[in-house]
Amino acid sequence: MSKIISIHSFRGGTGKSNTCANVTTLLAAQGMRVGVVDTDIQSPGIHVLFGLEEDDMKHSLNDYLWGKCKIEECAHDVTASLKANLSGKVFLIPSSIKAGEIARVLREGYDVGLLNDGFRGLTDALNLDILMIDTHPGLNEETLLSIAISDALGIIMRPDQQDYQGTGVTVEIARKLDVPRLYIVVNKIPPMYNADEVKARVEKTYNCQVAAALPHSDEMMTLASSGIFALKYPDHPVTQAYKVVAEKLAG
Amino acid sequence: MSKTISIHSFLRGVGKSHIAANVASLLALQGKRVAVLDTNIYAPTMNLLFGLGSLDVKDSLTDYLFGRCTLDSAAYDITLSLGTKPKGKLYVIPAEGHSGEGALLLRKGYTLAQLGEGAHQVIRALNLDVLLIDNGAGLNQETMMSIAIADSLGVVLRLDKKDYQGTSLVLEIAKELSVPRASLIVNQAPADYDLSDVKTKVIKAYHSDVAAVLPYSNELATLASDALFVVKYPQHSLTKLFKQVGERLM
Repeated sequence: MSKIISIHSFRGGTGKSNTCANVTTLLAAQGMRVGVVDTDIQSPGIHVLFGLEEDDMKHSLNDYLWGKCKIEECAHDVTASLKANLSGKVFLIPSSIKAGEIARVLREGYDVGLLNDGFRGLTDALNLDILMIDTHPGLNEETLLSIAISDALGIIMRPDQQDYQGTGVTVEIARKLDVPRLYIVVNKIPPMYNADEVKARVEKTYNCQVAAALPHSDEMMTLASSGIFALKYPDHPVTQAYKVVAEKLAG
Repeated sequence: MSKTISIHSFLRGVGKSHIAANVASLLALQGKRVAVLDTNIYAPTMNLLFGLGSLDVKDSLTDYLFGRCTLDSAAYDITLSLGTKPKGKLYVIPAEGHSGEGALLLRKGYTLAQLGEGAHQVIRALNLDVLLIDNGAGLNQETMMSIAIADSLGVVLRLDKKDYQGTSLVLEIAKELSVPRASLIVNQAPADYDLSDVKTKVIKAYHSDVAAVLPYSNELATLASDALFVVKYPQHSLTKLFKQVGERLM
């Protein structure tokens, strides 16, 4: 029975795409067939982490939303490019990085229902165990839909006042939408903070489990989205934390 | 002659609002009459950074765009938050008050001309030297309007591969929109990098001016949005770099 996992954050820059890419890879390393969809059409980014260049993009999510192709034709098997001998599979459905195409979607919008159909189509056509949705930040029609259809939701936040209120609203809405498994991931915690204290405080504030409290990592910053952290640093504490996040979300 | 500076980025969360707030504060401390316009209607940032509680804000950008007030009536004089007796003036125009109508506005849409008109009006009404616009991230109609009306554009990026392509796009579009000057602001460079080396590489890669390369700072990360960095750490090397950014954008 396939599962849908959404990775969301209220604001941008929380580390959503990196978390999504790493969790995806760790699940594939366990032998699962994982699809990952970049629904952040305005600022596509996760394709970079999987090393998919613009020239190698056959079709993007944008093409599917404009009725140019079937959803599975947008899937790129990036497993081999990860060079990690994963026992599972990673299929990436990227959003277009072409300015004209981004502009077109922003101008014309798209049928959110079509996105939902696309998710189902992908799961069937590619025989996925897990579909990861890298959402657009914030609460809008598409993200609400993704949350509503998810079996598990990971909400990424930073320990910054700017993130607190919005995260609270998101947690509330996820509860109302009856998401079966709901976890917060606190990311980029400055070294002066005690991560365990931050975890405890956030759990208390939102009455929601924190799957991981990740300290700011110089290695992560230096890696700079050029690859998957968990593959490059398999024994790093942050990778261990990502594994816990993956387990909790996959259920 | 007043200047409109727009601070933009392709990606979210790269530190735009912090840079905008700190640069604006330093310009005010230097004697300029400055207003910061927060256009992040969806997720306002300046209220927190400048200590504006929800009860303090009656009119906001959202109210102006709904046609309820002029933009200058949504400007709050927060000069005193700069601590010492600054020579200039600092106003903040928050994106939203406590009405919570931001989301509604975004769904309804608003006339982009309103942004340009509001900018002109508030500059005149408050006799501003600088209007600093904290833009939303990414490329959409609203952010492009703000870029279009700028005399000077600061594009913030981190040294993250996700930023690269999009930042090139922004610079291209700035050129198409005939923005008189555009500079890159590299933020959160790993502390052990040679900053001048980074600057050289970025200038070469983008064929663009680089206002400054700001290193990742634990103090700033810890302070986060609780207070203004340049007010709390006036002698910090990062504060000097914020000053450099301001000078470059002017």
